[in-house]
Amino acid sequence: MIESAFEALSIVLDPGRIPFMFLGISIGLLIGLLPGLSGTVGMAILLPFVYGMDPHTGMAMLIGMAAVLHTGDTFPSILLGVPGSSGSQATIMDGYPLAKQGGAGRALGAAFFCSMIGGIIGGVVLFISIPLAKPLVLAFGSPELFMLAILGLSMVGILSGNTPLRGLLVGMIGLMLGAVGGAPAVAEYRYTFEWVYLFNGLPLAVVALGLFAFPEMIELLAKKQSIAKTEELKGSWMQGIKDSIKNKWLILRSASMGSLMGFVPGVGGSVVDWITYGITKQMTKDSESFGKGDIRGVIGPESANNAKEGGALIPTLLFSIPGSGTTAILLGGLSLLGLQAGPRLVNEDISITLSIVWTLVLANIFGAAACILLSKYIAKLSLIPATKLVPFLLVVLMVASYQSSRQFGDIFLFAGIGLLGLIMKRLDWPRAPLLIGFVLSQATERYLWISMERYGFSWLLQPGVIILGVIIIALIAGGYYLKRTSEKSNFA
Amino acid sequence: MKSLFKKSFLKASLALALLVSMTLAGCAEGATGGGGSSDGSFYEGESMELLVPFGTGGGTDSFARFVAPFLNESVEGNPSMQTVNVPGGGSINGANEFVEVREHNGLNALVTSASTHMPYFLGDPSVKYEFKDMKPVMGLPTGGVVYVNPETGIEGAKDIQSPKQDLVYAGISATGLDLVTLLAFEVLDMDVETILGYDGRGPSRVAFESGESNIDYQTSTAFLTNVQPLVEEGSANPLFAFGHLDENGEVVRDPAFPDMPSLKEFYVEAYGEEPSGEAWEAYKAFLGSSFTVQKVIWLHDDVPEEAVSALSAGAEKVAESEAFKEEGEEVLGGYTPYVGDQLDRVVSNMLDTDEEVMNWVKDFLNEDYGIDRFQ
Repeated sequence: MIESAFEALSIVLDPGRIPFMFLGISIGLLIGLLPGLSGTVGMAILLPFVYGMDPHTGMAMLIGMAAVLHTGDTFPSILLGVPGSSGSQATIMDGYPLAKQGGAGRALGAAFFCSMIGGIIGGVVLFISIPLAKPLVLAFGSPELFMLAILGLSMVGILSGNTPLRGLLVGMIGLMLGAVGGAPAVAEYRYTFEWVYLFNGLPLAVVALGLFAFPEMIELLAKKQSIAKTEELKGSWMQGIKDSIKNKWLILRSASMGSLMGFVPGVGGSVVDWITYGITKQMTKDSESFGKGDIRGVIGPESANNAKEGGALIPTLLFSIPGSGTTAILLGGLSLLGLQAGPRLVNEDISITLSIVWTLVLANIFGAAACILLSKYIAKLSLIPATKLVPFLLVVLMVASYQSSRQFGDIFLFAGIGLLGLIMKRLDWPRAPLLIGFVLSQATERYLWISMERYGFSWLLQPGVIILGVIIIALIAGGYYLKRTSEKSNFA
Repeated sequence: MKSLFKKSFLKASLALALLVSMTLAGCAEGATGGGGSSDGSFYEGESMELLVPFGTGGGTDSFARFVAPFLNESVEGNPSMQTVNVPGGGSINGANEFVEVREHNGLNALVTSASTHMPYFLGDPSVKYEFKDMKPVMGLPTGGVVYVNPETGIEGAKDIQSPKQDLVYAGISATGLDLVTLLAFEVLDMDVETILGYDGRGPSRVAFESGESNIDYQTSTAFLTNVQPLVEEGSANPLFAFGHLDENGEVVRDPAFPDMPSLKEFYVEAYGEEPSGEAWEAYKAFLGSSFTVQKVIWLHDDVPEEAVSALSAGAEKVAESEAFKEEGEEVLGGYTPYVGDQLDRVVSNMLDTDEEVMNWVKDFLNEDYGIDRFQ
């Protein structure tokens, strides 16, 4: 396999193909940079060009785009407090406060470095799991997938700070919003009022943008100032890289967690960042500084969201199960290139799979390098006065929302959820739990339904379920314990 | 500071301009005015839109994007072909939009799939489109194969009434392609526990492989790439292919699986007589609209006659082209598209449904699966 890996490297580095990889990388960075546009849009833009390309070139372009998306999307998250894509919201929690304190350069440096390392780890995980993928995928039956969804939901408590009850309530509202549209198991439509727009459920991008971006815009306008309170951009990106190296184990842990979660289809793909953020916070002793500009709050999610892509490709390529919107389109791209996802990609067409691994690694390196070079200029965005910046951003956000299904419902929903987000922000209610509930709603319902139908209550005794159950309880109990002890030490 | 701000503002506007142009390219509203210059052909210098009622990257989208350049080459006048995605409502949205919003001028075509046909036949209240008011230009068949886990002890038709394990089927939704499978079980009078709610055919196959289910079906391409290896290693037994409806409305063998019995032959082998009855009629009706003509490219039927003839002639040329068959192996799944008179016959077969049969299906869905949406 090592030999064929190097053969694949020479395929990827073929001078005729490199430009297409770079084209993919630039589109990926641009899509990431524009708030609200996510990988699905990038794929949809590139897909028409794929037709007629040779498979290696086409894949290099598509994967190049997907690989660096979560590198570029860090800019708006840190600089503007607006999610660059639905996978980079957790970065806001600490990245944005850092930018407000003038430490944008440092936060960006750390974020890009971690994105790069995370992306490379994701590629390595994909490579290693090629021979192991089958038993791995088969190990997750519906009951295990349900428990994983619950694991994700259990983050709600951690992410709601000092108000766990509010978090729980908001999380439930999220679950309910996720239930709008066609039910996963029966041909029933819920809360659609026979409005066809709602049949497919609320689009994730619109909910995420409304919840996190809209309130931020309004607040900025209300304060009539630029994002950074200081005029100077303190902290260089070198400082950020140094910070990251100091936290190398955190990077490694978050990246492996990210690729693992990406690998589980249908669960967690779009909340990987929040779950990693929650766990990072959970497992740190002095966690009070989280949410106020702790660099570790940037390092955790940023390592994870790039690593996720490598993991998400395992079920996509080997089992033709897309884990996300992006990978779903990638499957279409494969068939346009004359390939079919499945066991063949590990046997006859292994060179394609290996070139995908290489593209992931290379694109992450080039993408991060490009971002670090650009960051000096782009970081100045945070010095622009809000009255000039916000109208422009609102237009971009509207367009991005409208991209979700190109119906007027998108705009109404954006405004509606946006107002809800604004109220929640003003009243200091946590918003992340709503998103987690929303994203995991379908998976939770689907897998609980299937488990009950298939096994009755006996699924509760399956070993995988018990192991995951213990992990969930340990995480919740551990969080409670750590919180208690840190409160006590504060008191003393 | 001032100049700095200006510079970044410039960049920002540049990015905005780029975004807008990308979005426009994505939406590409295309030309409106009717075609047909007096000299030359109808499509000379025109731009045509293929409306795909699904998101980018799905099977129907791939089909449309694959066919588009071939149509551009073969249709007289070489119209440029734009693929436009209008997803939502399980494809009902886009099909409604095609009928109600798009101009009936021959420059708009709709690409449908089984998911668009199904709610139409079941009389879904949100359906505003009527296939009888459309003119098919090209149709693409696909097929499917039902297979079981060898541990069920089922090796052939004779064993279906005495499996060693309870049969469990993992499906997506009773009103999707699964309906054909469920009707096949009904025809065969097999006792199968159906668990619906899986996220797609990929996940349901994984459920089969991990033992969560023990009877499953996959469409042709997926069967060949993903199930054939299982058959070879002895962990799956293929039972029958759904078959195709021929021009006379009879079930015949699937051309992609010439060695596999169709459901009809399988039934004969199991029971020694030809299948009949309401379930069988229903099976044939949905086999036609779900598999035999799984994807169709339509025009409005009130467009200029020249448009229909130019496009149909183009489609016939495409279907015969060697390059089309060769490059389309994955997208077409080894099937030859229906065009011309043959297409008209299979489509009119598909649209010619018996109201009693449809009512029986609605009752079947209500009684066995609790779906009262179509009552």
